[in-house]
Amino acid sequence: MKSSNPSLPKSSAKTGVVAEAPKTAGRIKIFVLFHLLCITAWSLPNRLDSLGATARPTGTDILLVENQRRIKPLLPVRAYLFTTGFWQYWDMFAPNPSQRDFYGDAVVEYANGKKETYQYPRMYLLPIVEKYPAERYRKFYERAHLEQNPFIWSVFAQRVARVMDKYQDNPPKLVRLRRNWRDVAPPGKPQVKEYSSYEYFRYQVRREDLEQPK
Amino acid sequence: MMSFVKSMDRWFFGHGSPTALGLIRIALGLVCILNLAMMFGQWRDWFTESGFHPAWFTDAFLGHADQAGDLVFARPNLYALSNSDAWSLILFGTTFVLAVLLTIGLWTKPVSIAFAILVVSMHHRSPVILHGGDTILRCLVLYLAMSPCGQACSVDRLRDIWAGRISREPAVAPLWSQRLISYNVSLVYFTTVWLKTGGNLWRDGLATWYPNRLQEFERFPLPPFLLEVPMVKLTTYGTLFVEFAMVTLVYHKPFRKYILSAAVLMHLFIEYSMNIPLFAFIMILSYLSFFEGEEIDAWAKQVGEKFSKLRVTLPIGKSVPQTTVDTLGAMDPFHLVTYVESDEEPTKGMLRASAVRSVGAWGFAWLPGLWKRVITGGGR
Repeated sequence: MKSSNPSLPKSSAKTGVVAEAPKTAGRIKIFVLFHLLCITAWSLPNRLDSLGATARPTGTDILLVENQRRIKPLLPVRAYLFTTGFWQYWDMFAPNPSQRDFYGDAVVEYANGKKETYQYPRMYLLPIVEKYPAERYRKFYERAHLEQNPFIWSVFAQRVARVMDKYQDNPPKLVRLRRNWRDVAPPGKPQVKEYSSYEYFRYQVRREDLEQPK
Repeated sequence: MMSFVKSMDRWFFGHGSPTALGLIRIALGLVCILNLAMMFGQWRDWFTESGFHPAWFTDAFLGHADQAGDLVFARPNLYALSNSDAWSLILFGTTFVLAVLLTIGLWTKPVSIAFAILVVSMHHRSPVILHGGDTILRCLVLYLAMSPCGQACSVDRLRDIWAGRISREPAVAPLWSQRLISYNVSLVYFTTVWLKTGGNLWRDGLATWYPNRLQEFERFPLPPFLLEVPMVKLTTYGTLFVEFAMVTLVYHKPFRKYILSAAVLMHLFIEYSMNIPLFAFIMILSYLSFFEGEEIDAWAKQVGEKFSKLRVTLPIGKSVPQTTVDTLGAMDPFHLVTYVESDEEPTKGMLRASAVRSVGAWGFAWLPGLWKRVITGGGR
């Protein structure tokens, strides 16, 4: 058996620590410390919105508010996180898990007056094998239907119009987007089975909307 | 205080076996391949101008989603160079090819950097479709690009052993990138737990009542008793405990395997019951960063010793270079095969080398003619 490279130090099998290992350069240590500061500050929860403009923070909220006011807006922090792609924020099932089921669909009206319902991929209706890769559609809709993202609605309706453009000489003329929801009841209360529905956007389809690929 | 700083410095910036990083690279590469394969059928919806997510969404969405206000800094995004479908497809296809190369560890350094740039570009192109699993995946890919992950469990390493440039002994490399992975994983749990302490459902022990009743998240059915209030309390507070332990107790070695096992169980439960693709697998593979490479090497050796060793003799009169034996050995992490050169016919208890018997050859012996070249020394 060939002997190990004599220039390489050996590490202990128990601890993994290398006794005579080369030292890490100071610039790498500074970078690592800066990186830790950036990702930690950026990941910490925000409190300003929940506290309101006048309330004084107490306890750990002081740390969170100061972090949000002083560290997060720092130019080097933001520049580093955005340009490298290390921006991150963690809120899985927090502060409370979602208590609302929702899905989207659309009513499409054709030139001859015919109406059809377009079902945007809905996880509950998909077979198990299909719903796994399709979850991204649910994630997209979770944000796409929100009142704070109205710029998505017209593009969403255009896409629906293209997908539903399936009859010769009878193109879609109007797309009406609907959100459907149902709240999960707490323990001891009967669960509501029916979904509520609300039409949140109407879009008049233009000829050029249908000319792009499906 | 100084001794604490010194021990942290030693832990963070020490050197050791990069085996854990190599395994993370393989596992993450496989998850990336699967993720990209799942997304390929949806490519037009998410990565073209005629889909649900045209490129201009990004600025509009991130502009108001930024926690610190306006969008000041451009996010690197190769997709922005052209809005054509062809360019988008080329980038998507290249990402897939690089994921395969990263998994097997071929040209690992440049491949891992290029792959990180493409993954970041993909996420900056279509941020509206990203979930927590995508974010941790992106961070892990970036850490791997900074790490010596190609120095273990890789084709690169086998090529270097084969060429005699390095020995079969495990490499020794700086481990700060592995420590950053551990820290970032703990940060995920830390900030989540902090946020959860502000949620009344978590404090009341009722949080897990809701996700398992959301129809849109349903996956495989759960036994009814798991959905009742006593179990809901147990799983709610158990989740908080495990997540907090992933920040604290997991760094205390005697507790480590118990905490990691509990976290694995928690994620597997979510994977089974809820439709949240790949998130559990990404989190679980990141737990490898809590182990030293030397521990993994020793564990593999220990497992190998439990099986009776299979001695293999090489063909009569054929001299096989030491580097070939080393390469084969490097592909046999459990040390199941001992290569012995012999000029005699195999005696009782010794078996002639064959591609099937030699575990070290399984990775490549299926390539036509290659095994014969290796065993006869013809490839040198």
